[in-house]
Amino acid sequence: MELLCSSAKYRVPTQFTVNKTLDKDDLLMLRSLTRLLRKNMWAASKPSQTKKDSTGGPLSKNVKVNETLIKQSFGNSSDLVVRELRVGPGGRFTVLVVYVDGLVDKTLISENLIERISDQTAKWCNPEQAYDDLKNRIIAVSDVKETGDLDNFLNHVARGDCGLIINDVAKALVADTRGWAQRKIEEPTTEATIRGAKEGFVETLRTNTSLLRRRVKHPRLRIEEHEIGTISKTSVAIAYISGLADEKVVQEVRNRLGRINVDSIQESGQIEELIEDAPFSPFPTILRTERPDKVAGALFEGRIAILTDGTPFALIVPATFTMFLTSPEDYFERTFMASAVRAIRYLSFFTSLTLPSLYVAVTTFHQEMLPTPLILNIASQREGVPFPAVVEALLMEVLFEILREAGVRLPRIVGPAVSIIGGLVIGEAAMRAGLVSPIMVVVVAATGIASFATPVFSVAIGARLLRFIMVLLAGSIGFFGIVAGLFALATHLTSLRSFGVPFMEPIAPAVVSQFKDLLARVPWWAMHTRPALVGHKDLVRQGYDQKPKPPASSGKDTHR
Amino acid sequence: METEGGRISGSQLLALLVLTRLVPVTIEFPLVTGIEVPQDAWISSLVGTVLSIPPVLLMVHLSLKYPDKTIIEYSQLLLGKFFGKIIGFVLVWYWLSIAATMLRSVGDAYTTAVMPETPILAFILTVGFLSANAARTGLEVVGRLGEVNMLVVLLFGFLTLTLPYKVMNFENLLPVIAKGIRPIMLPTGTAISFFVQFIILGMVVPYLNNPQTLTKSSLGAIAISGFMMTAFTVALIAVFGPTVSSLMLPAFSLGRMISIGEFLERIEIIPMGAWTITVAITLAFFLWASAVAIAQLLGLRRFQALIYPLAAISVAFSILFFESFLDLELYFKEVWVPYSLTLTLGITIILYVASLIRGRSSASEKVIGSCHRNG
Amino acid sequence: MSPKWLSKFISFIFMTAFLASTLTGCWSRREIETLGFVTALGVDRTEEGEIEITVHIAKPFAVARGTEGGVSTEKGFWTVSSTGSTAFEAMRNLLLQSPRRPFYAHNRFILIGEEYARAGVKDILDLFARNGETRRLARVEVIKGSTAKDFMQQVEFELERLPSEGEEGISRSVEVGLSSQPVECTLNSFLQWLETEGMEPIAVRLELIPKKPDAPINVGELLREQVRASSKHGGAAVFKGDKLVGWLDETEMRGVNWVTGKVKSGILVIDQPNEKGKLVSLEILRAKSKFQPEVKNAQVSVTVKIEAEASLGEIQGTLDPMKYPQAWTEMESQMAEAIKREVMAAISKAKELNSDIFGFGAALNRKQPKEWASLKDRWDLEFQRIDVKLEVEAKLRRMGLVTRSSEPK
Repeated sequence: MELLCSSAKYRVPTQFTVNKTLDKDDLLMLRSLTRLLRKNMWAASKPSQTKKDSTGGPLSKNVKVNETLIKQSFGNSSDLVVRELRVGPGGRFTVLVVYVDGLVDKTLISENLIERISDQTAKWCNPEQAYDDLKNRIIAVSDVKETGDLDNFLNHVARGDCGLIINDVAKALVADTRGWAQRKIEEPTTEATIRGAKEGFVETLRTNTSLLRRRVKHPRLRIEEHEIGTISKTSVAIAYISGLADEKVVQEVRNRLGRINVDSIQESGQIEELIEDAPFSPFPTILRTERPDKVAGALFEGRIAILTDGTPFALIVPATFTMFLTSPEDYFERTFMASAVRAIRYLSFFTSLTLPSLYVAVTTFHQEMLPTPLILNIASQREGVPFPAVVEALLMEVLFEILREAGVRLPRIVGPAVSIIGGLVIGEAAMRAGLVSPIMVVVVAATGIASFATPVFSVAIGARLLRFIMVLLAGSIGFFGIVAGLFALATHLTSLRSFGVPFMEPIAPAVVSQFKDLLARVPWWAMHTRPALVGHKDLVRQGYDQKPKPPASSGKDTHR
Repeated sequence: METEGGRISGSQLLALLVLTRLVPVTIEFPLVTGIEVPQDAWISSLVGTVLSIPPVLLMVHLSLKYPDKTIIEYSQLLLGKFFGKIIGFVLVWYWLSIAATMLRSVGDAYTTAVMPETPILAFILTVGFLSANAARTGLEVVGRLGEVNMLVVLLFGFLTLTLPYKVMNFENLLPVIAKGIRPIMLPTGTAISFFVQFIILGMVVPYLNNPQTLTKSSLGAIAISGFMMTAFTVALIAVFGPTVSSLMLPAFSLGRMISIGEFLERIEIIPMGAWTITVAITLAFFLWASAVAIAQLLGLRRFQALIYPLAAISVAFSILFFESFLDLELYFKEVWVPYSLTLTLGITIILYVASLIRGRSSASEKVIGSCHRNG
Repeated sequence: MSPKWLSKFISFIFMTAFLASTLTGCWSRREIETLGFVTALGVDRTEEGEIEITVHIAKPFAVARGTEGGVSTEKGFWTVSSTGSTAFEAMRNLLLQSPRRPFYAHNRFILIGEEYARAGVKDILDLFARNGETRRLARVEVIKGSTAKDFMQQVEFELERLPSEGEEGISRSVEVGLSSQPVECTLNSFLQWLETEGMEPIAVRLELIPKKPDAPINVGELLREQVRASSKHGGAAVFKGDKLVGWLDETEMRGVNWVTGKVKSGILVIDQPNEKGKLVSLEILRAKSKFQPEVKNAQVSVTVKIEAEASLGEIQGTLDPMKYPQAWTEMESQMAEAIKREVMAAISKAKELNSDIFGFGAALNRKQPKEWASLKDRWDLEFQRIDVKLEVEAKLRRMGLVTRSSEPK
């Protein structure tokens, strides 16, 4: 069959010649169908149209028509496979096997579909009976659906299902034969921990939900799938534990996801930007992670996860600021260690935000603050540096950011080398050339290191951005400027909400019961309740009095 | 339609009230300069704290009679539209004048002690803008900020109080009450005049999670701030002895006396920063109260629109009222005490009496009504 | 929705514009390398009657550890003077000579020439209390026998590149190890003493040890010590009101410290009980004191109770305290006597100068404010005839690592 396609991707050809085997009726039908199809496909490609339930017209009884329609819909894409089987007594029946190569498990198709259809169809007599037999007996795949709708059929095929059409039946069967090449479950690269599970999410939604399900083996774990993206048709799943998560928040998530009207979703970052509460905030109000244990932990607190097909990054809502400075490790390591590390993390977040500005403020406005020997040292180091401290700081910070960015983009083998050598060489050379003072290099390096101690990258970026503003403020009115900047930031953060939960909870508003998991992480036997503002549906998490003790008599007996 | 949608908790109100009381500390010697017997100032502070409990309790009592109304609303209820609105506008004036003095304090403190070359407007404008920004987000955010900030203030207050231990000499506190009661009792008026700023709680009551916490919060605020003030006074006397009455920025000067192991010295800018934030939050609180008050007086729906104009007015006041730091000091020494005391106590007593009369008449009306029905 | 973010955007613009405007002005900005860090400041009066301010300005490039590791051999500071009719004017006039703006926040020493101190110091102290840049915790020290300028021009220390560091180090050692100079004698306490009734200020006494006049001009390393002028610490300058009236030597100053309970350590030398002409050194370990003024029959008396503990530090002759325990008690009583001598010397000197540096009057005020009120106008006279009762309890606690001293055969 020869098609005169127009160049537009989703356009169905306006003119075509058809095979001679088609009779007149079929041709008429085909035309009308094509028109219908064109309209719908065209409409579907326009984001303004409400998605989903656009019925693409029924399937034809004629196998040839169906075949043509399918092929046209895919625009003769090379990965579409349409296999025509002649089966039944005397090859009376035609079965079309339609699938997209690469999305399906080929062994499954050949062994459980084609082989069985070829072998076991000798007793078929009429199309209806054949169809039923095919559906109820022959197809040895667990999940089989029926559809009489072309669009629906095509959608299934595009997702990796195998479609079966039998002649003279205006219905089709779709069997779940999905199976494609996917990345192995590996340790998450962006959120490495020393202690804790080594598995991270992958790009396949089903695998990700299975990872979650393995951690929450309870029927109350709900996974609701939505389809977002009028063209990309990306599966997005909402996961929550019913009874723990607030139904109102779940509904809010559903509503916000339902509001999304875009043509495609490539990554959960797009969803994040489309549903977050504060789109202009430097800090994210939705937590992203590629760790199933982190997601499961959040679910147990009554939070909701949003998993997106095609990306290992899951979203967690409602997110609070403290979550961004928390690593799953905190909950697995011994409590004192975890608490100390957490304190260091808070300190380093604050450092990465303010250290350069403090340097600028002290060296240009408040020279009395430093001990005399140190101030003399700094003064002698700045001897001959042509720039004011604020320019010096900005210069070095920008340089550092360039180095960092270059280090990320470069191939993994040279990346570290470039950043180390670049840092050392440029720092040293700039010092020797008298562009910057050595103390500035120390300050910038310390700030850089501190910014890497933040577990969630997106927050570290926010702090980095604000750092420049802080430096400018400090350079204009010194410590007062820093205080003003911090106050503005505090006001902003306190006014934020993430899906109804105050972003700065439990700091502002102070939630005393949640202080157990703020600066210090109390031992697990003392973590009686869930976060009050999130998990209020079922506040008590575990039994009381679980502090382990040695048995009362053990000391006497064992030492005898 | 409510003017303010947020709700705050009792502890947040407590924090805001404490901050309100602590703001004048840095700028003014707790009991204002020129006090006769400096070593007894702490007694005055303590007595003033205790004496300010009755008026504050009266305010609380009055507000709890109308837990779903602000002072603006129930004064109109009690005194009628006209006189009620006059009281409302007087209160707004009072709050704006406090806002202006606070702004001026920040500006003068920074230009005096830290950056003499910088124009005072830079500080006043920045703080005014930041506060207005916070006030626009509503009472909820202001309350939360206050709550966090109170902890910060208590921490820095504690550090500023204890770190100059090397130069403290508690013998400076002796002799106690050497010159009789009179010179001690006089400055207590000053202490009370700052505590009666708590009349602002009349604006908060309807927006409390649980209005019943009001009594506890106000008394807690008096206790905490009174204790802080007294502790500050004791520390100041211990460090500065008789020279204390000459200090311009006492708490700031206390910060200057910190000297630990030759490396932690002259860090007064850090407590100063904490104080600046305190002022900003308190200012936001007063701006919020004034804006909501005006919105209710004029029947506007959104108080947010009033915040920036009010902030601009207080900035202008702070420039126009005072020409020098001396003006501010003299204002606190001579004008403030009678002004604040008569205004707040006057309003409270008038409203209270009115509520008594109203209560009796409505009670009698009920009796009459029931009689009629029975008859 | 849109007006909300629009207003946010406008406020952002406003903020940025404000920032930009502040950045362009350089109101209080002072880059660190444009400042001259003053480490000591001296005050004198010139013959014309003007106030002369002398400062030590540190040379950062000479003092700091350079990036190359070594320290340059250059002198670490610069001494410069300037005059004016007030101290502030004189300090500002330094700008005429110094390419870097003198910055006083790191100044720890206010040195006052003897002549200036005798005429009264109140008029310059106000500046240091009023100014936001200077430290209220700077020490007040008086130079005996010369002007502050002379002292500052000549003084130098081995071991320290900045004289202020040297002063600091020696002061600390003297306070802790000898107790022969006033403790915490800062501007803050000086101002308090000035205002406290019944108490007079004291300050640290400094003396210049001039360099040897016959030292060769070109000298090698070995002779440097003799070439440098140095300072002598210890003792105190006694004020009456704000005027210097006299001096206490080291022993007398320790006497004062005994009374006020500020003795931390020091050496008491007494006679060896069993051997004529030989001496024993006792190291003071700790001391406590308490004094109680009392008015009885119009006679002011002060009871001073001193408890001191010491350890046997050195025996010149031969003595075995194990065999001869009476020696122990004898040494203790000798120690008490020695302390008494020091205290009495201090008291008689104070009476001679007629300055209540102990604060007996202030203590009376604290204890009996009414009595004080009647006495305070004639306190000068009362102080002269004040009756001091001394009760010293001296204890020897330790004797070191050996019992007897070595006995030559």
